Amino acid sequence: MKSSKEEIILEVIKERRSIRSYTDEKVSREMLMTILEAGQWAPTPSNVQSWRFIVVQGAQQFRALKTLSPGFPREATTAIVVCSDQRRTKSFGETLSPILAAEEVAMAVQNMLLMAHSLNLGSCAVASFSEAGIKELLELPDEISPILLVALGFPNEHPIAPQRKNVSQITSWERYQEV
Amino acid sequence: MEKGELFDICTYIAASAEKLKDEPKDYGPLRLLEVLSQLATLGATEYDDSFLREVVQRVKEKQGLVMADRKAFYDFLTQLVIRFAKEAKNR
Repeated sequence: MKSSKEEIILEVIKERRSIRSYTDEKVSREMLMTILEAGQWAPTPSNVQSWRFIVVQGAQQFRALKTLSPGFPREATTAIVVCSDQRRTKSFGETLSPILAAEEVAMAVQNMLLMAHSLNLGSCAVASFSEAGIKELLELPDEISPILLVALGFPNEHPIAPQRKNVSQITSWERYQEV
Repeated sequence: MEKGELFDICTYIAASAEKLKDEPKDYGPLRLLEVLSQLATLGATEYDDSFLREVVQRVKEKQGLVMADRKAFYDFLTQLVIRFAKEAKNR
């Protein structure tokens, strides 16, 4: 028997879609703060908290960000550039540091996407952007690397969920088995 | 086309060229469709061109197929070129 908390969380996870068509309506600062807070409470190894979030909404800066980010939905109205601060991850060593940065950012972004959906916003995680271009545009120091962009806005589409494999097709118990 | 609009498209092409070297090959046609859509949007407005307006609409409807149904996406690309070829005969 599932509790209401489980049902709500699973519903939000399953309902969320990557949205590529948006209305003109702007995302409020209050909504953004809620989304950022959700990101900030993601799991973080050794409490390293290497995230840096940069919100871009201003017309000129946002327009430039979109042109430097080929995968960014053209109609979205807000971007959160999710970065990692290498000064916070370097104690993990050269090999682990970039892996840790990607893991931390990925978990924070998932929290943000789910919170955005729960606020009736559309969102899309975007990996297709020019890292060099974004670093220059946002004047990021060398140690701060943009890892993912989060596109936000009010959705103008409601895509059908794509097919997912059944859990049993990707899960084995106790040891690996081809399924 | 305004100077700023031309600059934006050029920036988009430069960023795409840099990024595409590391991305799946189907992202190439997708980026070109995006540029086509941007140019066709400008052309449709500037010259009141109904064909280009239709192209923008068709690209918007079909470009998502790259994620969902690759064969249908490739078919769309072929049909789009045929549509352009038909139109070219009347221009």
